[in-house]
Amino acid sequence: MSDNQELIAFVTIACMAGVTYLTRSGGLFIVSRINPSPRFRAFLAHMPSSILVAIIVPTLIGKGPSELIAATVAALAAIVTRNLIISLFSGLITVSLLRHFVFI
Amino acid sequence: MSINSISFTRRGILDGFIKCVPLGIGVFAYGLVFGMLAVQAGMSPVQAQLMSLMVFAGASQLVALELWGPQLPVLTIILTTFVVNLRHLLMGAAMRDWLVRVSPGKSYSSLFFMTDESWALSVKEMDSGKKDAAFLLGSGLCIYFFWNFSTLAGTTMSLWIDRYLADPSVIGLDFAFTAVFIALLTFFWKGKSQIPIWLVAALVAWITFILLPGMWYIIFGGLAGGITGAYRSER
Repeated sequence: MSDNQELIAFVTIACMAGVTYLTRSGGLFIVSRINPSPRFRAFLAHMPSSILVAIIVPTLIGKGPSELIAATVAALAAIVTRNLIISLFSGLITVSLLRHFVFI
Repeated sequence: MSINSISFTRRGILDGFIKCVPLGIGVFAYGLVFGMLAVQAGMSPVQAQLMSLMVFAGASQLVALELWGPQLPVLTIILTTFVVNLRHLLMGAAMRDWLVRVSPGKSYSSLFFMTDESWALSVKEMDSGKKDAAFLLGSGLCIYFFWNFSTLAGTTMSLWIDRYLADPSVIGLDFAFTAVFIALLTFFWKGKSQIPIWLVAALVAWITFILLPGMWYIIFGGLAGGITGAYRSER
């Protein structure tokens, strides 16, 4: 790479960093300058779990029985134990066992 | 909850960091992949590391790799990065109850380190009535550590690529992401009134995922669920 290309690459990365921080800071910047109405408060209260749902959905679309069963196991483990680590590892162990021995 | 009781302590940072370690391990697998793919895409290890240190947003970094080459489409990369990361706007807004009660220096530096994983963990803490806003910074720093360490490991190891590392699905690590988010979601269960909200969010996310590229599905799913919740809480 020439020096010029090095510079362009660096500027690109720096601009990526800039716009990314804009997205990270922008939400607070906006909501700290308004006094939210009850309706907007309810919106803010329900948005986090909805974002989690939205993140999960495509990771399960088109997946096989191994993933769907493991997802159920992880959910049940989380409900029963309320423990993130136990849930994570029961999901991981289930998916690797099923992939290797059952739904190959 | 008294609105003035939000604190920001070193203990909160440590607590967030430690509780986030299991999520950091999942992030580590993706950082390895990013580091190795970055070298294959023609990026120098220094550039890949700078990107992980400065941008610190996995999905947009992987997308940037797709566009990386001898002739960089600079504007396309920057715009794509912005769109892929737009979901952070909603996540930052959702942290309002903590972040408007601490100094701007603390809140805006915490936000630099906010990721999907650390945010999900922190918003759960906030939702369960915890009052130390430094948790967001601590959990973010944890992911930052794992992401950068794994980027370094990935670029270093890219010389001898091993199938087991290039493909995390072999040891089930690709599923870690799903498992963690499912577990966190169950902690938000507050009764049956949640069901229609989550169904709307899931449906809208699914449709958006099929129709639109990038990460729009997270934004539309989150908005749809939030709006449903706002509408239903009025009745």
